[in-house]
Amino acid sequence: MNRDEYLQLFDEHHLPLYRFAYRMTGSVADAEDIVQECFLELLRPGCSYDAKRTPIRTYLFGVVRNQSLKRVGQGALPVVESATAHTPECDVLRTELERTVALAVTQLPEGQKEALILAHYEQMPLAEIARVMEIEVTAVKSRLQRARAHLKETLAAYVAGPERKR
Amino acid sequence: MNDIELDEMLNQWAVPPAGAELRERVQAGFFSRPKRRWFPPVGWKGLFAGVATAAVLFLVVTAAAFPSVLSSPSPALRPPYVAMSNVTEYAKDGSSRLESTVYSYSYKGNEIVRMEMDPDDRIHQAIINIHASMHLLLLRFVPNVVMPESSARDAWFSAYVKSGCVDKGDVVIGHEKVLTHETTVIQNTGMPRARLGDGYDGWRWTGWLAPDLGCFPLRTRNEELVSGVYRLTKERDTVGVMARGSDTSIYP
Repeated sequence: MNRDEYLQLFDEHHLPLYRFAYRMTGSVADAEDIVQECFLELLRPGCSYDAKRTPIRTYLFGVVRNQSLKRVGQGALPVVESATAHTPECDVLRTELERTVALAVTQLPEGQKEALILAHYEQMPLAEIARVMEIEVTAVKSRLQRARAHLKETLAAYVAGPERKR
Repeated sequence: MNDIELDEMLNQWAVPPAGAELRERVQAGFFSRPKRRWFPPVGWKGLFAGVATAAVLFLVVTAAAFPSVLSSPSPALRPPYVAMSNVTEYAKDGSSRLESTVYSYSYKGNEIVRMEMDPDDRIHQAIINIHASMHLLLLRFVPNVVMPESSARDAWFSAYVKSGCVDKGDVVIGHEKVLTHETTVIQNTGMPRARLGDGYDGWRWTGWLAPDLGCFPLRTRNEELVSGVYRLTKERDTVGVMARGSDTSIYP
């Protein structure tokens, strides 16, 4: 792989990989490190990527997943950095809602969290999620359903709040 | 909460943009990527194992290709005695250190080293171990390659010993008894080889050679000539000769 091919690969895939890493770890710095590691992995002499067996996107997501789980496993629960918190004119309620959602997602059990992030935020097909997570499609469906049920419970109060005020 | 409401809530979680330098970092990684190793890294043990394997392979291939080369072990491996000698090195400031202790003997004008010990330098010790092992291994399996026997050599050696260990061009400066053995004291001088960094104008080598030990040097002195004065750089003294008494046929 030459430099241009390598950078083209980066340009095509780094944004969804970064989003996934960020939502898994809750840290911009960790997410950037993971994406960098992910692309360096492709250059490693013993790299296990086989283009005939796995699409590159699936392989890269798998690497990011493993790296993210390793980092989350090493440290405490991720502290979610808000995307809008530093804007002076941002809506306080909106920021609070964002933090609440982020916290609710990041506090899901690992398997459910991965399945939800890949399915909802990255719009990844179930079959591909199954390959990234190295589990059966039925298991992905099950984890996704449990994650959504869990979130509905956790976030229900937040939705109900304004309705009760009306 | 229904699914649509949940999706709308989930969509509230935005992702901060990645740093602009991420692309540069990844690009830098491309240029400093690890190169493919065609061989796994080897340590000292691996290197030693590799050398030993190569030596065995060499012997097997040689034996298969040239059956006439592979013969019985060299008689050089049957020493009638082993001499233990200390080698001392002298620095320019006059200080000295024991460089090594050598266990060796003479065979038809060649010194065969059975063992050499350098107590202060493990790397040097490893190198001399490998060298001595290889030499003995070759003498054991392919003596005709490393030390071929010939009647011409036997004739020269016979004359050499009979002359009291004096070869063509040698200068005899005396006779002394060292460790109960009569010796001829030979002293040769010469110029340094034409290469940079020698730092001396000439050299002098003095050896006390014992004819009854196959002209083994029981004592040697190496000196360098600097500004008209000889400075001792290395000396070797045999401190004991252990008779093995098995084979004296190598002497005339």
